[in-house]
Amino acid sequence: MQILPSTEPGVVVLTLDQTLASEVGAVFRGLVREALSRSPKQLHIDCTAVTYIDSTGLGLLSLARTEASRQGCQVKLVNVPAGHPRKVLELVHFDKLFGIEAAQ
Amino acid sequence: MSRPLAAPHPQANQVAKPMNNPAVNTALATPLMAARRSQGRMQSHGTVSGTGEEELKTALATGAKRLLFGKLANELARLAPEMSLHDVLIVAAEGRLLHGEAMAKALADAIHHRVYLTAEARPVLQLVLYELLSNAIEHGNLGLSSTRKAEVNEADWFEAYHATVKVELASPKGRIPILLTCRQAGSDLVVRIEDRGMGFAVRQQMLDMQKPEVPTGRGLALVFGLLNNRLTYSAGGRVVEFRLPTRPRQETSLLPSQAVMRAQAKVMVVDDQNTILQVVKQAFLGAGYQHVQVFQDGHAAMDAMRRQRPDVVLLDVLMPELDGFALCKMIKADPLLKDVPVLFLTSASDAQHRAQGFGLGAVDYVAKPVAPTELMTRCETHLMNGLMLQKLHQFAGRMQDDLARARNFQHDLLPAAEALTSLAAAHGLDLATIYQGCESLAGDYWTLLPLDADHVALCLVDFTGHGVVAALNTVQLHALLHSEDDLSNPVQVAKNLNSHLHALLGVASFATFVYGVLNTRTGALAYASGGAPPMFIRHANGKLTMLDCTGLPLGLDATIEVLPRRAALAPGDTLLMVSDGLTDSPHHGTMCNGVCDLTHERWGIEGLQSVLQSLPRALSASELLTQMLDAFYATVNLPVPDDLTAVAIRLK
Repeated sequence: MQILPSTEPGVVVLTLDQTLASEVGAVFRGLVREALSRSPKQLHIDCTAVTYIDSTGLGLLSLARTEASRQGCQVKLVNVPAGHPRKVLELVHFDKLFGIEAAQ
Repeated sequence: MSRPLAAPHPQANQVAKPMNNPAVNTALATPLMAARRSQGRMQSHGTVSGTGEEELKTALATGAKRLLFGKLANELARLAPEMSLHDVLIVAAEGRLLHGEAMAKALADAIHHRVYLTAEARPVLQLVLYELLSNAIEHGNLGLSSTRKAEVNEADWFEAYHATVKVELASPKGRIPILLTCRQAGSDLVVRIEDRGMGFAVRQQMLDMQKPEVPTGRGLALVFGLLNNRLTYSAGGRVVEFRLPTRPRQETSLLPSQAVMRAQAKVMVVDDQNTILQVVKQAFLGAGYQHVQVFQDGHAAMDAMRRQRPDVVLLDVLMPELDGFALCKMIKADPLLKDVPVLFLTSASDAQHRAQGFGLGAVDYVAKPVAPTELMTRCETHLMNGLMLQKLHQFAGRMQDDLARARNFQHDLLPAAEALTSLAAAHGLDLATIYQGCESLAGDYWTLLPLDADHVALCLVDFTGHGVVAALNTVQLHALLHSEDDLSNPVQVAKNLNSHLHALLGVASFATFVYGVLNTRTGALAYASGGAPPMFIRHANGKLTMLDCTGLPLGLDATIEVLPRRAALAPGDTLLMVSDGLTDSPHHGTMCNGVCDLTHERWGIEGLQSVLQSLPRALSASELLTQMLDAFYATVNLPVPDDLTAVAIRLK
């Protein structure tokens, strides 16, 4: 999990590892905090590598959205792979909360 | 609820004395407050409108959580004309209907419980709250409704409920005239009161307080004096911020002081040489130890240990009858003594001996000739470790007891077996349920409630995470669900629950849910859902129908769109509800019970579907759950990491 530079101005990209669940919560929160400290207009959470999201992981995404919105930043989930991650996000209708961009 | 309007302000005197500020004139506060109450009554009664005598009575009797002040005012004028709007506030922080100083006290208490205000600061805060909120009421059409919402702490914004209390007061028009926020800053509590309405009525008086002489005539002057110039305000008079001193939490030490430990510790020394025994004994007694027993014979020492467990044992290695190694072995084999720290006190301390001693469970070696200081230091280290271990065992035992009680309590929230049997008989149903918490306490909650002769309500909710917090959330949900007046409309019930949970849950918490109403006569099912695994209908003819349960979970947003959904069961059909513990728990191997491909090492919805399709057609509700769980447990990795709930309802 890391923050990567983006070619798009005002965008910060946070790439996720394989699992977004409670065990990576502290790291995720720390990186979101760091990403938001750069005052981006958009935070892209890159889900390319993600194969599993549990309910705590969904909570973490919701938290990132709440924190970002406080400073006027939009959160977008990008490169969401087919399979479990996409199904889970669809199950909870997160497309109504986030911009979601499927993997090519 | 009423009190004489001219009664002295109880907090004024309490505040003035400890602060010992000559500028404070507490006597001024009382008549002015009374006058302002009177004024407030006249103003407010003229500007607010509302309905609902029953609503007010219920609120007064039960402790309202939601009641608009505007509605309350007219009824108040009719039912309790001696009271003013100052006297009635709904304090969201406590969820209770309070008035006057009781309201301010409740708010101050809520804050104090989190940040431990000093004895001087607490009544000051109470008075400030009373004054400012009263002023806001005087100012105009201020109404109050709910809401206390956990605010995240800036220092660690994931940990909701941490240290910040936020109270919002909303007007009948839905605005938020006052925002009260408290946060810890170093050793101080910073209280910020922000008027988002029309500004504080006492703005000019606050500005006057800039002057060295403390003005008289307003309560805030009193407050200002007490706070010793630490009250600040914005230029517009809409923000008041002040600091109050707090004191650190009293941490209870787990371990006794060195002196207490030395006075209480039971030390046993075993050596065949009396001279050594006396030297060691004197060293301990000289250091303040009071319970030191010495033995030249290992058997006698063992007998004494069994009669009274020592806290530390020092053993010589080479002894004629029973040597130190053999004695150590006996100690470690005794269930009551095995945790007692054993130190070898010997001249035979070569590497081989040391290895042998440590292998038998000794914690240390002290070389002869004995150096008293080294002996004390080493002994005390192990005594402390031993005490910590004891405390840990005690703590773990208490935790186990507490969790067991909490688990029983949580199970009591679920429908009792007798109630289910009765419901099943009355409605012609065949029912079976499974409920397993993964960490003693669960985040799953389910229930079946009879609505009338033909309808039952069914509900399955899964809160984020599991353990204590998730379990507490299920308790809240149980209370919310059972306080709903009308359970017959799934969409409305879902919206109501969402509204409550959004106010109650932390930022990253939510709950997936299915709530439905089944007509047991016709088989018609109306339901609402959010983020839950799909329900399934196993039809009597073997067909399997999957019911869409997608949607926004409860508590994520203040308002959610909830879709009305429908399905139909025929006689012999079985409705199955499960929590995601069944679909998302990791399995080992690539096949489960030879019927489904575990592509992603979890059943997933497809896996569950395959299992359900593979099972024999005619199964009772109980057989269905049993066989489904047999397949699940055949390959799941144990222990199952999530709560697991399954409910099967078959129409007879």
